[in-house]
Amino acid sequence: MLLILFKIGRERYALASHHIVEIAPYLLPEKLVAQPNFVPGVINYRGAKVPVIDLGAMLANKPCRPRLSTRIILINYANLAAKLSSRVIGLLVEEVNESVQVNNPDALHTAKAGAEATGGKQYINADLVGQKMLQLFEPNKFLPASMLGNLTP
Amino acid sequence: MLKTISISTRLFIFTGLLLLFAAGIGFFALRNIETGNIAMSSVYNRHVIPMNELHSLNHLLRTGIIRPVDQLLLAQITLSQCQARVSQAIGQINSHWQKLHDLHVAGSHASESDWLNSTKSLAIMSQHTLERLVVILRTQKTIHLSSFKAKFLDPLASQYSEITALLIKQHLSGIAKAYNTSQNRYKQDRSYFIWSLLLGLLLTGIISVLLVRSINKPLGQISRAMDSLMIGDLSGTLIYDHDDEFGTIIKSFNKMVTNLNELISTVESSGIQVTSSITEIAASTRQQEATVNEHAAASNEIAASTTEIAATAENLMDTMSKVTDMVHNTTMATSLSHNRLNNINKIMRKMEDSTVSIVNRLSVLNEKADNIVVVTKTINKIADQTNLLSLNAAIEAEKAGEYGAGFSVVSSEIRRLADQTAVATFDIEQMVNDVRSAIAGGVASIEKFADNVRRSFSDVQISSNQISEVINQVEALSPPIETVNNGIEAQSMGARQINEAVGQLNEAAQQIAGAVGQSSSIITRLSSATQALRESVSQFKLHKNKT
Repeated sequence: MLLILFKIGRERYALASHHIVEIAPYLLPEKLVAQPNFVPGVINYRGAKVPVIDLGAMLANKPCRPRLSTRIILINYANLAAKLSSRVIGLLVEEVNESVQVNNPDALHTAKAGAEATGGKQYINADLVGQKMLQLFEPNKFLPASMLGNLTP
Repeated sequence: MLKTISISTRLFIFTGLLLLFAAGIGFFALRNIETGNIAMSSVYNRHVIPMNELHSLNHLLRTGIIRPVDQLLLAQITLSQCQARVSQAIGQINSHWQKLHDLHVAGSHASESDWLNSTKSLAIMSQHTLERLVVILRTQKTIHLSSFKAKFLDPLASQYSEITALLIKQHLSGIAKAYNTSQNRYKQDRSYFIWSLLLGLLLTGIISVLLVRSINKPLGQISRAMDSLMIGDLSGTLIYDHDDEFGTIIKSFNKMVTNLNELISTVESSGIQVTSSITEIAASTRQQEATVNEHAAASNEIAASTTEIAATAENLMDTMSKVTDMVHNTTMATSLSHNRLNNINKIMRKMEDSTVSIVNRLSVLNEKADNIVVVTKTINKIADQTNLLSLNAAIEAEKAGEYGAGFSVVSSEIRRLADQTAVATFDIEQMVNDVRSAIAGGVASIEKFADNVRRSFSDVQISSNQISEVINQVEALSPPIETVNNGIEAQSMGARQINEAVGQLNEAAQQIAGAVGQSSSIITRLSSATQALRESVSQFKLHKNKT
């Protein structure tokens, strides 16, 4: 199982590769009217308009800085509550450089079991990712449908 | 009457009486001695000399006449010898008889003619007999000689002896009579002498006592007065009614006592005045002493100050000479530095040019660094895109499942290369940034340096001008320094003169101080002397009307 690592604010996250469509370089999004501040705008991905969510601004109240390592991860987002079967959205995050191959995916579940004790945060077992404290990024959990409902396609 | 006779007259009279007494006694004694002497000489002339003559006659007859005749008869001598001896003896007998006769004529005395009458017949008889003997001898009738001797010569000799014995007896009785007479007279005279001597001694004693008393009495009076005078009693006067030397002395004494009284009362008042004056003098002397001491202290201070001034002036002179030297040196040094400044000026010009070229070169360097930055940025972009590609490739490989496993490894290797490239480019970027900042700093410092050089250049220009001015001023300084030097020398000399004068003043002050001290001691002595004088004067007891 391949995990893509990135950073939101000061915290490090890992995203499972099966969510990811493609990783795109940082392109200046086109701005949309009447959007919350964590949505800088939309980008053109292979002819389709893809909304971009600045996770730094949204979760850490700190907009991502325009760097080479700041990239847009395009994911397949499926949320029943928002009546979205599947659609692609861009997540603007920092330091998207590395990937980690996890050979034992069950270890992640044990980590999930202990997540209740840490206030809802899910940490990956440190032994799996080489001493780094990583939080598993679950798109359905971190991106509620209410938040995305108003996003124009 | 006795009161009016002076002591000397009395003494004259007394001495005259004593002399008269002694002369009377002497005269009396002399007369007695003369009487004794006369008696002695009469005894000698009238009794001793005739006795001697008679004895000689008797002796001559026996030795000069009878013995030669006997010897002739016994034929021991010759006739002529006998004749000569007999004639010689006859001459001598005749001369003795003549002497007796003369004595008788000289001291003719009624009572003494008796013995001469009796001898007269003997003389005639002996002359007759001897004339016959001479005839016999001349005729050399030696036969008749023995008969003649028996008949005439022997009786003559016996008669001579008888008469001589008789006469000696008579003379001895006369001598005894004369001795008795003179002895009686001596006894009488002795008693007279003793009595008159005793009387004279008695009179002399009485007169002496009287005289001594008359001298002693006033002397005692004077002596007592003197004693009381000695213990300072001036209150009494002497009373003496005699009009002699002592009267004069006592009058003089009384006058002296009066004068002494006046004198001592004057001395007393003078002593008081002197004491008060001495006290004043002592006070003023003390004041003077203090003033002199102050003066000495002040002059000492002045001397010290002038010494300091002199020393300072000398120091100043030394300093001035040093300053002169230094001015000279400074002139030399400033002209030297002027030259050096000119050199510096030239060097600075060159430096300015150099800095300009350095800055140009540095800006070139900066441009090159900019180029490097552009290149690295490009490399960086490429590395980034490679990284992105590798990530996407890894995702695709994951999606491909087992078929994409090998590709996944390739993608991760590519990503690592991209990362290393990124890191290397980052390093290069860092280095280039360092170089650029260094260049910027270098340019800034070089510009600052150039600025400084420019400023220094202007400063050096100003300094050069100032040094020129300084050289001019320093050259102009020498004459005033000479003047100052002369002035200082004059001041030093003046200070030295002042010092000497102050030293003399000090000496004088010390002499004055010594004199004052001396006078102070003199005053002290005077004061004590006056005190003693007053004490001694107060011992005198004065007349009541005087005190």
